[in-house]
Amino acid sequence: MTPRGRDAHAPFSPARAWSYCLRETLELQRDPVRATMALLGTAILMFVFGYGISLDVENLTFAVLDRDQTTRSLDYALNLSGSRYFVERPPITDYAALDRRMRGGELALAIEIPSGFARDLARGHQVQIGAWVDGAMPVRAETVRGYVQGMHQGWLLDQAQRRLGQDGATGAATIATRFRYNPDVRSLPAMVPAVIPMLLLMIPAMLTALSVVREKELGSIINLYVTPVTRSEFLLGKQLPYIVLAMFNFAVLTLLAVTVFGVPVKGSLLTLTAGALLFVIFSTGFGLFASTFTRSQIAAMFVAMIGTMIPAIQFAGMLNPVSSLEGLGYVIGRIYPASHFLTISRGVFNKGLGFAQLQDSFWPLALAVPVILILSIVLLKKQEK
Amino acid sequence: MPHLATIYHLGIKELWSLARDPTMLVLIAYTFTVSIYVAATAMPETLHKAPIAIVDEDGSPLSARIATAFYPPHFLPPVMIGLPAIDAGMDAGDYTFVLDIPLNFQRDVLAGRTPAIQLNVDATRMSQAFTGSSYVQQMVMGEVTEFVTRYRAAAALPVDLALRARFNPNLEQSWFGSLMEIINNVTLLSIILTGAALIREREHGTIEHLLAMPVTPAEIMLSKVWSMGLVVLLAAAVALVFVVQGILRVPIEGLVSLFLVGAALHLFATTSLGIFMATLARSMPQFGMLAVLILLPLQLLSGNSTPRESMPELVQYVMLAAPTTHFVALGQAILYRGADIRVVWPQFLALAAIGAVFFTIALNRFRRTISQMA
Repeated sequence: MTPRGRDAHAPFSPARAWSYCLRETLELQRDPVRATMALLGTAILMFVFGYGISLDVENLTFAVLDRDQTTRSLDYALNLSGSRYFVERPPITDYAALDRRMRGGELALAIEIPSGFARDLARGHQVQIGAWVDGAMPVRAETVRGYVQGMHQGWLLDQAQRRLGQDGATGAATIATRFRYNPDVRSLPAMVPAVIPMLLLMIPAMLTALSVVREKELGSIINLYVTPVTRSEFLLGKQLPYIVLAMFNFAVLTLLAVTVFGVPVKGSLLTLTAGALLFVIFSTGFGLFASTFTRSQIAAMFVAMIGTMIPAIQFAGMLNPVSSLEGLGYVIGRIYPASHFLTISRGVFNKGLGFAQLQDSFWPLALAVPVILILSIVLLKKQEK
Repeated sequence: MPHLATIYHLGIKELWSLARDPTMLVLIAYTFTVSIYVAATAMPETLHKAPIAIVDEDGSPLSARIATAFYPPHFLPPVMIGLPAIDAGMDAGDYTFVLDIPLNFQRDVLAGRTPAIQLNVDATRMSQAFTGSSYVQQMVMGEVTEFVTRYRAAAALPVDLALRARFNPNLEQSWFGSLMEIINNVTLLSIILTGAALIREREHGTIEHLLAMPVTPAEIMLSKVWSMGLVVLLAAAVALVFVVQGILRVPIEGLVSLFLVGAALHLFATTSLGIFMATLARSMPQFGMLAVLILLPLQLLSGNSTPRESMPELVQYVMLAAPTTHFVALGQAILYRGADIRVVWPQFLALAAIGAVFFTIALNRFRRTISQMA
């Protein structure tokens, strides 16, 4: 140990930082509910999201307004209801019913087959089938549109083959689609690596978010004001136990992914772990940051929530790739570390990559760590104003 | 029987304590203006600026024609790459789609040999990969067919499909995004404001003062519900009228007032939930954890990120107990589809029922927690 006198004036004393670390560890240990919630809660959430968020659009409801009532018009409706994407509801009787049922959100798609459909078709006249898609949820509408168009084309080819004896099925070229990294195009292997960054951002940030502001509200911050401890010792010492807890959390999540969800780590586990370490230093740092400039616990909690939840869900590329975002959201997505850790997580889990291929995502992460820590240290006041 | 005057005065006290936290006021203003604007304008269409690369081994007029078919806004301008660059580009996530046009493609097409183009899709980007790949296929086939018809005529059945999107004809995401963001923020803010306000009173010991006064737990709880609910309702109304209608120019079909009544019912449920959570948590840090764990599913599984009908059935049923599910449904129905109360009454009823249950449970727990403290 260095003599007390000299140590008191050191710009950064590891011993003082360590004692804050011990103090925070004790606080965490004596409130086991919080740590348990963090570990158990993330595990539960991983289950909920791994199975709950499905990006396949299925079981869409539709109904037909059939003014023709012939075998051909029935055949057209059967073409839709026979697919796994659509579920048929009782037929629509008139426009008023169509309007009412679409407004209520009962139908995602309504089809109108005009009277004289089969007759006109047999005569080779132009006929038109009407289709209305509920546009209230654009993503879903877009998918429905794609399905309907595809099935319409399929029906036409089928009709041409059956009725007219034309060989319309073989086109001029074919397209062989290869779904890479996730050949069965299942949601689960794509979602699990995307949920890990979200959980490792929100939970550790919320754990640290209250640590400093809580001392301000309850008065024990006086220890920072009146003792030789510096702001960096105080903050880094407080941060360390939460980094350890978050890394433990990461281990639990990865183990769950591999064992329970059956999503193997195809790439370098070391790379993933290194990425996770940088990322949880950032996320715990973000919590501290939220804690340093706010004055009440409510405000700190709120900053931590909106500063992590919105970017993690919307801008980090979990549902939409960052390159497709617009405006400020795109800028946030580019800078925010969650997007980069998401790339690393998907890269290692799904694509079997290692550090060499993923290093471009490491630099922004490595840069974000000192930025958030320095910001927190600067914003923390050594004396109340 | 709770006294209205007492509830009113206790509520005013809550409003004062919020007004004296300037950071909090700035944050509320931010979440209901800037945050909504950013989230609404950021959300892309399903297929928006999808990054695509093309490996043109053929170098023919037909392959050049295929390459020109991809342009913004659905796709980013295609990057022409060599065969060896496919793996690296897809590994790094630079492209979601890579189209590989083989050698002698045009010659084989014209000779009727039906050659195959290879389309590589990054299937980890689920929604884009799904819609995108069928889009790419349609466009490529369209180009090829058009190219071929100049050489041989193809007969088609004269059935036209007139496909229209109702309620949002151009499927603009900002319409959807802005409303969903308001719903998210209403839920988030109301739970945190009421729950944390109660925990703070406990931590600071001011709840002792309240208990020493002639007020009942029901009065304390109701006062928190109305005051914090009112703050959030006002903020939501401002956001809807000024940001969503004013700046984002989203046309609203139904009655804003009906939506706000729905929001008030929703707030009754969420503020009660906030108080319930505050009785479970022993300290603010515990409450923070609990808030994350409850808010995430409330938001992600309510049907405002991914469609409800594609979730597993168990999740769908469980989420029927969540107020957000009904609030999202009624919000979409009223604001986009112009639905009136005759259409959305089931959601109103569900919200009122959930709110009543939450309130009763929370009040019971609150009474018990208070009697333990005293």
